Amino acid sequence: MIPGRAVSFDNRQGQILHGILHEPHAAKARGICVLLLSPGIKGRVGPHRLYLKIAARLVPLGFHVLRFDFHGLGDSEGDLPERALADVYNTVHSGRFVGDTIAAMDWMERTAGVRRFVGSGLCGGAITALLAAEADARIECLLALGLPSVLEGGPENWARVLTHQEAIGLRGSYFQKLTDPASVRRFLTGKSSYKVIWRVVRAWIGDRRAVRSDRPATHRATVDHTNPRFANAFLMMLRSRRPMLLIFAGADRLRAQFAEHFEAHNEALLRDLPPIYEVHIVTDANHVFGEPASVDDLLDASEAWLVSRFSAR
Amino acid sequence: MNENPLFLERDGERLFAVHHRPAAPRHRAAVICHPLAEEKLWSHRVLVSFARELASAGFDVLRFDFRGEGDSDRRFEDADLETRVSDAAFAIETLRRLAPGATDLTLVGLRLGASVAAAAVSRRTDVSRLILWDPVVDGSAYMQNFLRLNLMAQMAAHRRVVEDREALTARIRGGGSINIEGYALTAPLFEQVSLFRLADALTSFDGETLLVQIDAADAPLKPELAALASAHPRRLVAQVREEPFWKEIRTFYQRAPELGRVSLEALGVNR
Repeated sequence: MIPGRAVSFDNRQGQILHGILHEPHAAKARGICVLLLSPGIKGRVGPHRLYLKIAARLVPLGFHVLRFDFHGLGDSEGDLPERALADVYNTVHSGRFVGDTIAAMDWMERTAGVRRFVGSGLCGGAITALLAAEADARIECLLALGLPSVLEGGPENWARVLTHQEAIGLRGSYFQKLTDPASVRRFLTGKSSYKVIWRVVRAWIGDRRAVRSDRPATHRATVDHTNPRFANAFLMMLRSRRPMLLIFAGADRLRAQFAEHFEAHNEALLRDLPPIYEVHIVTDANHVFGEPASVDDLLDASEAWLVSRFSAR
Repeated sequence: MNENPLFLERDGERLFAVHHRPAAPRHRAAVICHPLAEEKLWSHRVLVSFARELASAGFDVLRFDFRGEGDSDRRFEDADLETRVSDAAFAIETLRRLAPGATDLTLVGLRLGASVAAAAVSRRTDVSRLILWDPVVDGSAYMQNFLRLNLMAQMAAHRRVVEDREALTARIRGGGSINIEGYALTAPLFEQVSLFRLADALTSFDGETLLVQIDAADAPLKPELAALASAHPRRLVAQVREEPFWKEIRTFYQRAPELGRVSLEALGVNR
């Protein structure tokens, strides 16, 4: 494993945050720190220790890597008041940990003299990095893994943010349910999710019309359900010419959400801004990039992109 | 809070640990053993909260990551049950050094971590007590459930099982590995855990043992836990109602209040 040292620092509320700092060999150090921000509630190692694998790839290239636990999570101090996991996720996506991220940069600047940062992380870590970059220009670019662009808020809101791709994926199972007495009973007694069913039917009709008219189907969400903070932060990155690499898992809904809810609704704005975000899809990967081949793909893409942006010493 | 994260050196490798120091030491100490793989991540905060409760009650507490997990050295596939048991024993020695005045030592473990704790105290006389939260009683059944996660991933990816349980087992036994939620399961861990029986591990431990069954709803006491408890006069069994916080559930679990209460009672701590 890549060596690291245990570090602790205070956030602005005086809570102690604990983490691990991986430092490159002094002769190779680029003076740039990749902040690997914790995903969801899983803490600074990430699912299946993904963040250790990323650190092991980036540190020999001369990058500092800092992984730490946000307040109320992992080993850090503090408590979070939420009882539902979905509520925790929504507060994360709304910027709850931006202050902790800025505190981490302040600490790195003060103790290691590093002033240049790459905001990075998976899912909740990615959105935190984006929102922190909006608030702090020391984040020069974004390496986002599975960047969420909508607030899902739990299964009850699923119908609202269901993508075309997901709706089409559900079509087969709904046809099967037509022959299942229990499903039919649920439908007739008001226990089915009619909103989801309607979204599936609408996607199906849309596709059939497109086939008949010989025109490609457009998959644009009728209503923009993007996280209210997302568009401003993303567009600000483009306006301030800070590049972004968005790595999405091919089997995850986040790419389609980004395309249907954000890109489609901001097409005109995006056309006028510098095209400095790239999207890399890791084929067949699940949300946490759980297959070894997915991890290799993710690491290769991240390394190539970072090395092309920051010159080596 | 007085908490000291540190890396422990052992034979050229490093184990990450956190020493929770009490404000008013009471010569009591506890080592906490975490469960396996993603169960460790989901349950992490409950273990941290319990360590803090113990520290506030006067205990020196050591939490640590087994090699192959968390921030400790080694790849997951290079660690097995024996390395985990050895790490738990090393953690006991470390805590004895960090808290030399402690005369009463308890090991607390969750799921496979509970089983590791039981195996680590076997034949030891310097450990007073075991608190085993939802311990793995039959390692073979536990490993079969672990394999099931791979089958579920196959269903999600291909809508069918491409490689069945027998084929997966054959691959592991042939020297290969299979992917479980991003962790490479190899033969040593699979075989060693499959052979594990909690009853055997507890045979040569004479200290107090609290076996805790955790259920989200009312459920009968598992016969295997009842049998274990009745086999030794210093073993007790308790049932608590908590959600399975070592999995992804809808509730955000920062602490397990019932589980904490029962465990502190067993330690004679009044809150």
